[in-house]
Amino acid sequence: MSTLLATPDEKRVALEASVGRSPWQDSKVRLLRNKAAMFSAWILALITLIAIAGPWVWPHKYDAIYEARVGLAPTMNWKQTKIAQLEEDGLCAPATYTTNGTDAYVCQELPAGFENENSPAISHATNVELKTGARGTPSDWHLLGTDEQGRDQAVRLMYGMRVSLAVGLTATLVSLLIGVAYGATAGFLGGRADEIMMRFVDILYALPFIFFVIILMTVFGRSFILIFIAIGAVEWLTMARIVRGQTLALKAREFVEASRAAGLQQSLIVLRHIVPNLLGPVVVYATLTVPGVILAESFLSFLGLGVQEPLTSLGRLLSRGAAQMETAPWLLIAPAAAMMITLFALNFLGDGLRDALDPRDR
Amino acid sequence: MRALNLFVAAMCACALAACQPPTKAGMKEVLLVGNSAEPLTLDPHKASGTWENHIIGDMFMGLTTESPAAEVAPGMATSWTTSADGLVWTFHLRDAVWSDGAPVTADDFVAGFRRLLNPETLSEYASIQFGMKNAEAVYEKRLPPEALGIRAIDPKTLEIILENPAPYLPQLLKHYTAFPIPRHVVEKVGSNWIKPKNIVVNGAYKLVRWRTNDLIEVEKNERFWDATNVCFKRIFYYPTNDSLAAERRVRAGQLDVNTDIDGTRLKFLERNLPGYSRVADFMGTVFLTFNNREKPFDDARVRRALSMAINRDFIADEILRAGQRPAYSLIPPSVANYPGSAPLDWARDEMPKRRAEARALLEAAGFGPDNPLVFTYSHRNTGDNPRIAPVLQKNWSDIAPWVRVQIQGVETQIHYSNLRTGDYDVGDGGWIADFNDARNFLFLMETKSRDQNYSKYSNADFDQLLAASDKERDLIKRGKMLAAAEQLTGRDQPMAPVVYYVNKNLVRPDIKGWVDNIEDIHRARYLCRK
Amino acid sequence: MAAYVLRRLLVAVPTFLLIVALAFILMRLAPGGPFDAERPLAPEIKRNIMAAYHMDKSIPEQLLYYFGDLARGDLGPSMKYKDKTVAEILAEGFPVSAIVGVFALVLAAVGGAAMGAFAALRQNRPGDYAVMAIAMAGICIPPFVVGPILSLLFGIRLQWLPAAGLDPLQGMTVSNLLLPIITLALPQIAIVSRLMRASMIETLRSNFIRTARAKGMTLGQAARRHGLRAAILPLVSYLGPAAAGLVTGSVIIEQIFQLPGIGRQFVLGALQRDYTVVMGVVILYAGLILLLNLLADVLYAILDPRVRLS
Repeated sequence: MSTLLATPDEKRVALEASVGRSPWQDSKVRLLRNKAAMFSAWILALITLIAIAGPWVWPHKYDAIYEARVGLAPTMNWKQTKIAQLEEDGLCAPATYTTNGTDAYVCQELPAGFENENSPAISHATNVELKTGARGTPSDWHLLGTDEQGRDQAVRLMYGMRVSLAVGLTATLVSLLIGVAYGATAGFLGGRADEIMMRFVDILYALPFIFFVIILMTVFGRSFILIFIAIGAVEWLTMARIVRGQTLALKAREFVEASRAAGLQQSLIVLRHIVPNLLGPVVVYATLTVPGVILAESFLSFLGLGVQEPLTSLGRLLSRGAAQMETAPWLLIAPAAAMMITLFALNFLGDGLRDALDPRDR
Repeated sequence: MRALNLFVAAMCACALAACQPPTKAGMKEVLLVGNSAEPLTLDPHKASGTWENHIIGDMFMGLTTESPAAEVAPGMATSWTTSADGLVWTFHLRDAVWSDGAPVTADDFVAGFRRLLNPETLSEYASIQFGMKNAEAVYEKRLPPEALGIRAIDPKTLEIILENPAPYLPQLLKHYTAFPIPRHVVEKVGSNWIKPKNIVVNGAYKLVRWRTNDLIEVEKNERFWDATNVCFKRIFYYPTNDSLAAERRVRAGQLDVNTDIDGTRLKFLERNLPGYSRVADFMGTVFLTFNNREKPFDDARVRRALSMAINRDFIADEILRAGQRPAYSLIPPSVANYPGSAPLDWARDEMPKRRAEARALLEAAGFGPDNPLVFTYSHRNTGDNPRIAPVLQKNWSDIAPWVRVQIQGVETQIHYSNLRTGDYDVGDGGWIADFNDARNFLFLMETKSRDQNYSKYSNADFDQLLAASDKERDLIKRGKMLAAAEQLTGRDQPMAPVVYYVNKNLVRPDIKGWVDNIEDIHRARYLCRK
Repeated sequence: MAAYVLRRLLVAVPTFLLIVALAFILMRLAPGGPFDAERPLAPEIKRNIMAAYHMDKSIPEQLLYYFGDLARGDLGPSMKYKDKTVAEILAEGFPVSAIVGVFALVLAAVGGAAMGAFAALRQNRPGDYAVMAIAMAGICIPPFVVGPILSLLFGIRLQWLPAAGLDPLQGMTVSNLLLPIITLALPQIAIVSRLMRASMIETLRSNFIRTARAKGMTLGQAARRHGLRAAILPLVSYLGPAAAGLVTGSVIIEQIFQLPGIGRQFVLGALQRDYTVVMGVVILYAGLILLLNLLADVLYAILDPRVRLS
């Protein structure tokens, strides 16, 4: 076909056909075409951005205790919500007089935090006047409500996401580094060394996860870092197994034999030929480990072994929320939604990566 | 595929066949009780927890016992007299028998106390009976068991000799450490006497079944001396350590009683389960202890400042929410025979004033922006304690920006171990009195309490006042001496009281005989369903 | 086959002993001991107790004592429950955990396989997406959220089932165990269905299925008659070790539904430093894992005649 009369599309196809693509480029194209995976990637980026940058711009601090604002439902004017709560408890009642543009209430006791709402025009000091429908300033907003200690839930959710994502990524990284190094070495060495190394993995596998974590945490104390390491120390086992399996398969391939015939050192063979080919399954498995780690951390928080107060994690938010399901459902819904979206996105991304790197599975 | 279908069908059939209607609470003769935790033992001389007391006290009875309102009532002893110097008490026993028919005699009590104070029994709580003559010496094996100040004059008369006069002795004798043992059984089977197949009791109920972490079943002892007034024929106790799951069981009609309620749920329960919640003052205090041996907590100014800055009202009203009251003295107000010490001078001040004063105290002690006050607050990570911790952290950092506190949650066991060895800065603690007397609180700050003096406070005047009060027979005078001793700690604040406990129970409204009381003891033999 | 099984069992013994030794040493390394309760013991008494449990000796010596007891089948007394032995505690708790675990396993295997096959046969169509979305939800919503919701809904609002615990008079009944089994099974159903779907898709592309279809079977018939047996192989590899975890009790399920299983016992034991009980559960768990791994491998070989056990 003459290139002079071809359309731009036809030109591109012809060009690609002549240039050829590496397997990596193929995978990238396939990934970019996978709508679900790309959407998930964007969502994750957004969540990470909110989790990291959110607390800086938010008007509330995650550990700020507002003694007057305990247990409020999501609101844009906490004073309105608090008065409604007090009304329900019978401690305040709407006033019998009216003024323009303001709601007035008579309370048995002036509620804490309402000192400025006092109306001196009326003789009683327990009258509260609130502007009807006034939105309040951002520091009056509690978009996800407050918890039982009067702390803003929205910023705590962001902090919880920070912690959970950090734990997820770090523990996965730890397990990746150890797992890949261990598994590749075992697979490559083969024979006796491989058997002993894998036997050790079997032994560690047979220790219950909770036991391991409890021991690690009690021996080394409750620092944040330890949680990463504890979970990473358990997750590397599966990674090692997968990597070893892949290495064994790769070892038998011709290009490795060719390198050996050419006289390349063992270590260089591992580095230059084996590891790059391992990357595919490892990346996929790593993406799928992160949700597992986040869940594991949430289990630990449920048992009371997770991060220390006032820090929080998705798991801790969820378990407190579940406990208050009937009285304060907003404490459960927001963290549950956040966790679900994050895990969904991670899983879709992992699936997308797997599909992209191994087209037969589509 | 067909095999699979058959399998599923078979499972369904089995399931349906096994279907009987589930057992619900509210049965005339059976009581279902959620008892908060699994007992580690049911042996009265080895127990130490309130939840163990609930069951043990239903099975055994001492010389004295509790009335429905937990006041002292005659138990195995119908009457008692005291000698002129208050050191010799004589008890006259009623005609009661063990559940196998053998009579309960004074020798059973002698055997009980000797067993309690025998170090090989591994009793955790023997020290509570050290008021008996030579008790401590026998416990430390410096004297033989026969030297213990207790003897059987005849099968129905028991004599107890004390080290110091103790007018509160009848109170002390209703404690489970003072329960008798069936000698004739213990001599035959040793420590296996407590197992369901061997056990013999002198109380209203006898152990039938104990499945660990599952249930404890007891049945009515027909030979109990007051059996005609005992209503329930069988009682099941469950270790309900998750109070929310237990609450769900009560709401679903699976339990009659649960011995704990999550404080934040009370408002909800008032609306959705009216008549079930029972809340009463409890004979105990939540406090913070400072490590008086370490800098900077050896300085009373620092301790006072930190104690002042605690917003007790917020903690009681908004965090705990069950009617707990702020505490400014270690001793709860309704403790018997105690007039109370003078109130703290800053107790009535508003928080901003207290914070300002606290700041001034800390500055006087040498702290400031170039010398910040940094320490760790460690707390038990069960119950309400994790929720109080962030509030305390904020209360203290509100004093000044150079006060920086780290929080550390610790397992209860490890926490108390650290408190005993003095391996902490500031720690939380709770004390529920063993018997209704102020002495049982003040001993926490006595030098000779050694390990149990968590704060390591040592004040010779304080110790002297306590020792003198032991010799005083008049309860009023004695109360005043104890109050004077407490006065000293008011200034020094070796421990900072936070709130007083309340005891909270869920009780099905159709159960009569449950009287809310300060000791939270509700013996099942008084309960009945109308 | 028999020779293979025997060889595996023989190799399992030293592995098992190593696991026990490792667990023992780890437990001893953790600070605090079982006798540091709220009420302190007199030093003399504490020394006596420690001696009785051999805890005054060095760790390797203690390990040898422990192995000696194990050889005689004695798991020792509990260090916290003063009137009970470890064997008694395990015997009481294991049946509950096992029954909940086994039924959850069966539900997961059957339900997950059915869902996965369904999805595979309708690949990339609405049916597939719906099933996979449900499966994803099962993995992403933790059991300590699902459990209380089910308990509230069925136990309190509708009053169809007990909210928690076992029946006082009847012990384990269907109505008491139904909610815990479902809550425990949900994440497993999700994982199994994903595995099944992937495996089934792969199988359906293979030659023998193509042959069957060429001979005139529909996809569904071919899947049922030939595909299933091949597709469930990865499930077998997964469920073997997963079963060990399920059967030794899920702590979270037992906590939410107040079930007297060994999962809760185990965590309590670890937190209270009740060494003997913890070791007992570890031994049980390790034994089960080794056994179930062997069973999975044997089952795999039975199902796939191409695999030769070496």
